[in-house]
Amino acid sequence: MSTNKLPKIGFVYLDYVMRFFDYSNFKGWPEKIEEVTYHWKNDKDRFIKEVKRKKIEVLIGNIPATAYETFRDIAKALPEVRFIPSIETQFSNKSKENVTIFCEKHGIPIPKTRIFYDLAKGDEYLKSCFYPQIVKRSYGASNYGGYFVHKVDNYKEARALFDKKKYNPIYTQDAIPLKDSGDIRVMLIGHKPICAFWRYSGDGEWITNTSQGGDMNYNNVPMSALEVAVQASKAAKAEFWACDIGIDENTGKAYIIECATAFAAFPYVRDWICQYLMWDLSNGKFRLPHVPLFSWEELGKMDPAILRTLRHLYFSKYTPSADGEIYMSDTGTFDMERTKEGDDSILPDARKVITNEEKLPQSIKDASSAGEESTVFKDKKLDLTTATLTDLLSLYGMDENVAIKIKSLVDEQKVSCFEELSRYNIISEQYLIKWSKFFERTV
Amino acid sequence: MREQYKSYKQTQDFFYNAQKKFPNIFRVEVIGKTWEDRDIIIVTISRDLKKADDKPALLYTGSIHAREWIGIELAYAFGEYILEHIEYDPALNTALSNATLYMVPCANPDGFEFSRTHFSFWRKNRRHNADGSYGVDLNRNFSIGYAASRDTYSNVYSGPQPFSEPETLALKNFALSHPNISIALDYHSQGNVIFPAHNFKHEDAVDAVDLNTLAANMSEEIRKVSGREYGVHMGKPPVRLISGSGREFYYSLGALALTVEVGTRNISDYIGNMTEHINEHVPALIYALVETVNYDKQKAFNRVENFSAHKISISRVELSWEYPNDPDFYFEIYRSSKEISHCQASNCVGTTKAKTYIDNHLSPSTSYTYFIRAVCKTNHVKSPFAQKITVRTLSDIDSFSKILFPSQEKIGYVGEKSSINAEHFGYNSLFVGISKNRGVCYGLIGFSLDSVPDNAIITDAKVSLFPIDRVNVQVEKFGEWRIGILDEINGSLSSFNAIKNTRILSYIDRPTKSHQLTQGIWRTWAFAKNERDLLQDALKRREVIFRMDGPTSLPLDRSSQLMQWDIGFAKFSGGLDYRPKLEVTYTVPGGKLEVVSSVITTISEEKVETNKLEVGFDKNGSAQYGCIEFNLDVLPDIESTVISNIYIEMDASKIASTQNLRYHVEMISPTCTEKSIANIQIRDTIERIGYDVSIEDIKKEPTQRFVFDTYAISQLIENIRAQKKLLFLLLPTSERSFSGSQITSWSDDKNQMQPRLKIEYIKKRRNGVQAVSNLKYEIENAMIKLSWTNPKDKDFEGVIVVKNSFHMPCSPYDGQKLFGGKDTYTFDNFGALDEDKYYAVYTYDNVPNFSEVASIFYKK
Repeated sequence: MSTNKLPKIGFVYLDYVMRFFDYSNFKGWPEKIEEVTYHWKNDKDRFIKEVKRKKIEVLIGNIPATAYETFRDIAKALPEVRFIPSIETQFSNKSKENVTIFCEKHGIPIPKTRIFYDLAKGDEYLKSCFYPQIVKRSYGASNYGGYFVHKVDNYKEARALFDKKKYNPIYTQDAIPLKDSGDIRVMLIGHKPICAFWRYSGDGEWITNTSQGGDMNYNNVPMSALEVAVQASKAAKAEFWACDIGIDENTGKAYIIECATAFAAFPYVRDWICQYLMWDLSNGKFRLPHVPLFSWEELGKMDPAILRTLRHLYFSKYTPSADGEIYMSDTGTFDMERTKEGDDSILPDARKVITNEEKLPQSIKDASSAGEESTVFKDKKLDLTTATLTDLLSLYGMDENVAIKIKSLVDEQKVSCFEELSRYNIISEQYLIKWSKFFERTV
Repeated sequence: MREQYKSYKQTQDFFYNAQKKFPNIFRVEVIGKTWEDRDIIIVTISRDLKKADDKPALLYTGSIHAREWIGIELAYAFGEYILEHIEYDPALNTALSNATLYMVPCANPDGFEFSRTHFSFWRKNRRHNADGSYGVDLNRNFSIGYAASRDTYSNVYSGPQPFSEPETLALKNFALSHPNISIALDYHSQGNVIFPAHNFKHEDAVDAVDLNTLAANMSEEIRKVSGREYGVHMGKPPVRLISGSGREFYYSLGALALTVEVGTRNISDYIGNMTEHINEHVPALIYALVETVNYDKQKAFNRVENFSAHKISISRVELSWEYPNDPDFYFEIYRSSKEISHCQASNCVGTTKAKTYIDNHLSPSTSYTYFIRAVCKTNHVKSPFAQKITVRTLSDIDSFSKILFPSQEKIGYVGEKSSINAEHFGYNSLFVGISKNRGVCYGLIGFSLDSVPDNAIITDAKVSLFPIDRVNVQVEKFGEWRIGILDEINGSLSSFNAIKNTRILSYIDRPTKSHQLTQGIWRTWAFAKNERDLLQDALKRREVIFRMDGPTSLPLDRSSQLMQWDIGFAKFSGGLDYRPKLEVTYTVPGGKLEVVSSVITTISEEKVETNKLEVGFDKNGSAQYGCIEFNLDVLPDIESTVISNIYIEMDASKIASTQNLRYHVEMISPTCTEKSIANIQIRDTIERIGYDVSIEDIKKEPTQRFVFDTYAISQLIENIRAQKKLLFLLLPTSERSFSGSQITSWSDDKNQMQPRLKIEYIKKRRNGVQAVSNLKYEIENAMIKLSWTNPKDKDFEGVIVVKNSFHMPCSPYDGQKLFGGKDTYTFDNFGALDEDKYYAVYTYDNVPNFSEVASIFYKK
């Protein structure tokens, strides 16, 4: 990809799966955007061919857990194609077990979790562990509410549960005493939180899933939750990301409960994501969306029915006036931009949404059983020549301007490895030392 | 300027080299990594390093705020000092043999380097926050009192959760694993002030006295070097308290923890100021290191209990205390005019093995605070301090004293450029000096003199103000603050021009220089005679208004040079206990009374003869005495009168003597009514009155005075009170016997020149009115409300309510003053409900004499 030419992008769609993005989210993108749809059941090769034929350089879209293993193969077959989010980034989407593995590898705080494929060993553990425990089904479609999450208060309950549900593996974690009996959903774009809210369980409930009649509140999200979410987003090198976070009511410490690139979001959030992707894919030529921290508290005051119709929100950066003086330097005028009217086509047809896992086609159910044993990705060092802006932003302490500067130096072929950056006065020596550990030495 | 300061790398190298040179004294360890991967180092310095962690230790942390470079610079300099002195200096060697120094030269290396190389006045660390901003204020990121915030751009952003930062986590882990730390000092800039740890409560913690005294002792060490006076200021509600700081965390682990705010700038002129700061702080640091031994958490001695004052008089006070009987211990007693004071040899007024001490030679109408600690004579280790006590001596015999406070509408400041000067009164602190935004600012403090009588003769006066804050207003080393009596104002009190154009009749005392603006410690200006005269003039106007002036020009490159003084009112104030005060001592014109003797008698071996006073030796050489009686019933009521002077005056009429005999007067209490030589010879003398006189004296001046001294006056009064009869004897003495009679006659035949008792007196109550009754407390609106019934006495003027967390106040000044006035209730507005405490109520009259105490114990 050069800075002059925009890459060819295409949407990944899957039959039976809701579409997260469409053209309307990429307002202003001058090139044609392709679509490639995966039809399940032995569709891998056709899919690869179609991507190649359409000369797609960037494939955008979430892969559902059930198709994750297939898309690992597809990605291998298309080494020149950038997947957004990358297959590695989507690792956590596949299963609860993967969330645990991911967090443990990166030192991200999670409740103490044990996974047993050996059911006997699992049973031993359940006899001796502290209660209450949260038991989850690790694999399978996750979009069906909290039906596969259970709280058990003692061994007897745990045993009864596993006898009934036959979950394999046994996935069980310490139930942390949740502050305010709720958890916090944090959504991030380019590692910055852009929306967050508390989700409270209904009376007497403990599962915090708003689709099951909980309550939500955009106020008073603690910084600790946001920081943990950023840590996870950076570890996953995620262009966009969502976490569910619990706050221990005794210690105030934040823990990841869930994290993924797939989540439900209002259209304006999806617009922001795509604005961000346009920034990334254009190497900074498009404007990076600026979403002030806690702006969600203000937006959250609106009726959700209105929020569902808001599109293409922009915030400007606040420039403080100096010493209280007002300088009227802004002489230009500006008009309200016309936006495309939203239409029903961007909303899923309610009649077509399958809400019961049992009704899914057999091919999807088959796919979900593929590759149940998780494998950890090897630590891959970044190659400066191919690193994306999102990759660069994943470095601790990196900000947009520095990332764009580095990217342009690479594109202009002025630098090809990280060490060469020391010639340009863009980062401190200390950061050069710290960041260089994440890059391959190519000299 | 930056090049003169050491970098973090240079500092690390210096200590690693020191370790190489003296591996038995220096040890460098890495206790954590910063966000930018720098090592956080700690240096352990002690003689016999192997035992370092078993000795009581001082924890030094520097530059936790990036721009406060003194921390790392002082650590480096102290390291150099040790290298230079370790081979000979006995004091340093003793200190390092008994104690250990742990130094984190720079607790915020990322921020410090960022400040050094790029953004000088950066304060926080270099965390990359969730919103892309940078930095957490590490000194708000500790757990004690941690206040969550999400204003990530704020300079005091506290971070996502306690100990979220690697720097604070490293300090936490080190402190937790080193329980031998007994004192912790955190070095900051600026403000010339030491902030002891606080307990988030209005009531002092049990070790507040140790914290304050340690700070004051360190500041005394500084004063010895440079003359600079450091403030000592422990935060208390309602003033906003710092939360989540390292100081309170170390304090929570049982260490005496202090923040030291050095100098007047964060990054100061190296040669001009920084070298001086370093030189003055090295001895203070050594002082603290030595004190660690006295506060060893494992072995500290008991503090003295029930330290109390009794029999407070004009010039003396009796102290008593309790301590386990142990022949190895003695006590050191310190006295100060300030409630927060150093306790060093210079103010150690006594040492004793007893458990009482009498302090004589005090000045009247003066407040004194006493401190005491036990000392083990075998190892010289000292105990922590007992709870201090504060007393105020009684006013002099013929004096009254008043402590006056301004009323709320008469205290405020006027600023040249402020359009709301009237609103400052009774609301804002006094900002005095100059700033770009406010222009020149004057403080105004008006005192009503209504409670001082018209005819008062002012004998002493002083005015005091409390410097509430110099850290936030950033007072530079520049200028001086003066307080003066203002002439009558031609215009409004809140009109800047009127105030500016009104003449200062005289400034009081010496000006306070910027380096004497001791935050947290009162400043007092005492009146000289000519200044008192102006106050005397003001008495006619029934009001005196003081104007405080600060500098009227700005230091180079500064936009403000304002000092902030407490007004004692409204929400920015510490309250009543911090209100400016004018102390006035005065007397009033007295009455004079002359009592002529009622009976005079000459008594000799041979006869008893009335109406004659012929005294000397008869021809046989036997003494002939004169006996004088006065009718004291004519004296004014003794309970509301004090006698300032009293003397007996008599005239010698015939002097038939050539010998060198002398006369003196004795006051006696007669044992029986019969006057006889026998009864005189076995007389019960109370005291001699005045001096003896010789024949020579009498020849020169026939009228002679015999003046009562203080004791004689008090005995006279005692006897009058007890309605006992008094006699005065005129007696002759001689060192050898005579031949021939030697008689001088002190009466005349016509009884025109009789002895007379001359009395100068003033009307003044001798004792207080009754105490209050029905003292009780209740909880109202989550505050402790005290109520009582005032006595009905016509001389009742008001009550003082005082609170003390540790003991029953032993005087109306022994603790925090909660109320003064005539009300019958008060609230302890900021008092903690979960702390035991004592409340005492004293009534007073116009002298003031205080009543017996009415007191109540509040049990949490």
